[in-house]
Amino acid sequence: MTTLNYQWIKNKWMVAFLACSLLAFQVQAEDKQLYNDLGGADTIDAITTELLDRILVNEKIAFLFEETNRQDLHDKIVNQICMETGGPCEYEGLDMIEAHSGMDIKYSEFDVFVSDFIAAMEAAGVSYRLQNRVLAIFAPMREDITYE
Amino acid sequence: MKKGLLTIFCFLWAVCAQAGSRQLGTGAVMQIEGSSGSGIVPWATIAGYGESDETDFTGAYTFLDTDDYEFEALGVAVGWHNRIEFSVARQSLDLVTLGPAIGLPGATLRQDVFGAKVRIAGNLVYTKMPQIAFGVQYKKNKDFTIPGIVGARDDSGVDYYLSASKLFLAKPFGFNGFATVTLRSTEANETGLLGFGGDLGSRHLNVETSLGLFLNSSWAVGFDFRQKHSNLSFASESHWRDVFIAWIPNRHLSVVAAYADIGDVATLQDQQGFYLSLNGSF
Ligand code: HEM
Repeated sequence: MTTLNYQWIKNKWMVAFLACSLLAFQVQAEDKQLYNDLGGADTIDAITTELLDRILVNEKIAFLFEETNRQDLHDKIVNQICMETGGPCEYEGLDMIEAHSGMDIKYSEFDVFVSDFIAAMEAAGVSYRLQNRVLAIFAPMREDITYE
Repeated sequence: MKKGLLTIFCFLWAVCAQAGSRQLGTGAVMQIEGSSGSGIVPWATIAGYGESDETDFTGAYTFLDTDDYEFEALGVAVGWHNRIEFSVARQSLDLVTLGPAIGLPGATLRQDVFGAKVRIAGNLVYTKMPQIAFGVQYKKNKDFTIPGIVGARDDSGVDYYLSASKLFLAKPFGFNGFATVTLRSTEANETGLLGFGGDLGSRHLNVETSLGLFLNSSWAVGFDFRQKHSNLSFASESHWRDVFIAWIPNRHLSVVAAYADIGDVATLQDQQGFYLSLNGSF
């Protein structure tokens, strides 16, 4: 019986430890270094080119970009990534809710876009850990971009 | 028979090569009772890769070999719209040592587990709050002779669980960490293979956890812990734990290898061994 009680105390500590680490993880520290770590403007331009190469022909989402001016969208996305990763840019496009309103973007379409984004970063030579730091910035935008 | 199943599986794969669109790894794997999770712990995840307008099917075969036991589980699950999951699993425990000792060579304990789970809130990857799900597992023994002899009260029972799971993008150190805490209310003895309830009690609340890290997009490592209580005075149950490594080359396949420590089981002490699980998804 004593061993059981002892085990239970250990479990409680383990749960407390887990809960604390979950909370600690949740605290969002701004990732100011990311722009430099990525390799600055050249890498971001390459990522964006690779991204548009994919999403504009991806049969699951391309139809949304039928009216899109590629150069215009390219410049806006470059600026946005640059600013969000702490680079010396000012994004002046629409905010994410406005930019995507009325498109009825589904969660599955968002995930297709994210997969293309990951593939684009991979093609641009961005390491796995840097990819994750970029995704950590853009992932929370899902609720603004999708209509669900 | 196995070859036939394999052929059917490959065929389905080829035909329905369209898996859902959720990110790689977010379908987790099938745990030993058929629910989406890791080796021994159900997670808040919904099986497969389907999003809110997609439906995915998964199947898994799991094998654990300890000194005195051989455990096998075969399961299938469907994940509907990343909202609801249904699963069926057949577990069997070959009493390699105990069988002959009690004059029943070849004795095997088997049970069927019917699972259902609903995602209540949150998203594993995209929301700040964890993904939270509620699930049930209805378990029914196929062989009650031995559980009955050792004092189990029932040959069927229901587990209820509440689970929270979260993936932490870029944490720690740029890797993606993941964690699950599951609270399970159960009457089962050794997950139900030794029946339900006994002379020491019946329903208990247990804590289960799973913690791990993606090393890159297709390799993950982690550990599971599952608290257990004893209902049968003939032999006390141990908490279970395992360390695992998972390979997820694409949305159709995942392979989990683990080393599991399931402690004392039905009087036989210190059961440890290798665990292997193959998962297919389409
Ligand atoms: C985190 C993910 C995303 C980011 C950061 C993002 C960013 C942007 C930006 C900066 C613009 C330009 C806004 C402006 O015109 O001022 C834009 C427009 C647009 N986005 Fe997104 N977007 C994301 C996800 C998606 C998804 C998932 C889809 C569809 C599947 C999508 C479809 C579009 C379309 C169709 C436009 C309008 C393009 C045009 O001007 O014709 N976006 N997005």
